[in-house]
Amino acid sequence: MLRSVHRRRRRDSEGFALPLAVAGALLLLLSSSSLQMLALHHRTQLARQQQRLQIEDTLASAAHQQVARLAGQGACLLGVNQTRWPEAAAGCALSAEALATLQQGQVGAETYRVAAYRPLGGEPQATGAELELQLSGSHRWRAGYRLSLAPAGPAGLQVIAMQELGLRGVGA
Amino acid sequence: MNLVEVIVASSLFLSACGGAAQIGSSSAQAMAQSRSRSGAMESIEVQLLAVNPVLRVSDPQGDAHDGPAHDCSGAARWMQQQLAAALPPLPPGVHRQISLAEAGDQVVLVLQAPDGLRRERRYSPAAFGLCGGFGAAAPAEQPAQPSAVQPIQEPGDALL
Repeated sequence: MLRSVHRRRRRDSEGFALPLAVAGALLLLLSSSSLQMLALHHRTQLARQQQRLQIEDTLASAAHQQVARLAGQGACLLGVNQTRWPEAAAGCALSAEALATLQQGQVGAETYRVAAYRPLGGEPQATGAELELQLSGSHRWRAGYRLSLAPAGPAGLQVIAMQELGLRGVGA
Repeated sequence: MNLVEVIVASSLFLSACGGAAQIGSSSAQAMAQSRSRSGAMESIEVQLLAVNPVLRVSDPQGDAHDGPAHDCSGAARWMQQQLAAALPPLPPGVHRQISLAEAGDQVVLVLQAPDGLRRERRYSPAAFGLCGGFGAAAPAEQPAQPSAVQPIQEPGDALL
C-alpha cells in the first residue's frame, strides 16, 4: 500500500520540469520578440516621417522657385487664376514657351508642376493667392501655399509673404 | 523528476534566456537610436521653423528704399547673412550649411545629423517680398561685399 502511494507520487512529479521550462522559454522569447517588433515599428514610422519631411522640403523649395518666377517673369499672372493664364500671358507679351516653363520646374532630381493657382480677394487686384504644387515623379505628392500679395507699380502685384499650408496627399 | 529531464529543461530555459537577452539588447539599442534620431529630427525642425520669422523681421513695405530690387542676388546674400546670424544655436552633432544656389538668387539651407539624417531647403527672396518684378522692395541692410557667397558652415559641437 505504502509502496504504491510512493510510486504514484514519483509518477506525478515526473515530466514536471520540462513543460515548465518550455513555457518559461516561450514566454521569454515572446516578450523579447514583442519588444523587437515595437522597436522595428518605431524605426519604420521614423523612416516614413523622414521621407514625408523630405517631400515637404522638396515641395517647399519648389514653391520658393515658383514664387521667384511668378514675382519676376510672370508678375502679370499673379492676380489671375491659372485657368486663364494663357489669355493673360498673351496680354503681357509672355510667349507660350515662357508660360509653359512657368507651370513646371525641377528641384534637384524631382520635377514638379503647378497644379492650381487661385487668387484670393477678387481679380485682378487680389490680396492673396493659393498655390498648389504637385511632384511629377514616382511620388505624386501635392502641397498648398498661401501667398500674400500687395499692389506694386501702376497695375501690378508683388508677393510679400508665403505661408505653407502643408501636404495635401497624393494627386492623380 | 529524473536527471535527464532536469538537464534538458535547464538547458532549454538557459538558451531561451540567452536568446531573449540578445533580442532585448538589440531592441533596446534600436530604440535608443530611434530616440536620438527623433531628437535630431526635432532640432532640425526647430531650425527650419525659425527661418520664416528671421526673414520676416524686415518689413519690405515699411522700409525706405531707393527703388525696386530687381536683382534677387543681393537680397539672397542678405538673407544668407541674416540666417547665419539669427538662427538658433545647433545641438551637438547637428551641422548647418547656409550657401547660395548656383544662380545666386536662392539661399540653400542644409541641416545634417550624424546618423544620415539630412534636410535641404531652398529659399527665394522673392517669396519674402525682398525682390521681384513690380516695385519689389529691397532688404533693409544689404551686405557691402559679396563675401557671403562662401557657404557658412556651422557644426553644432563648436557652439558648446
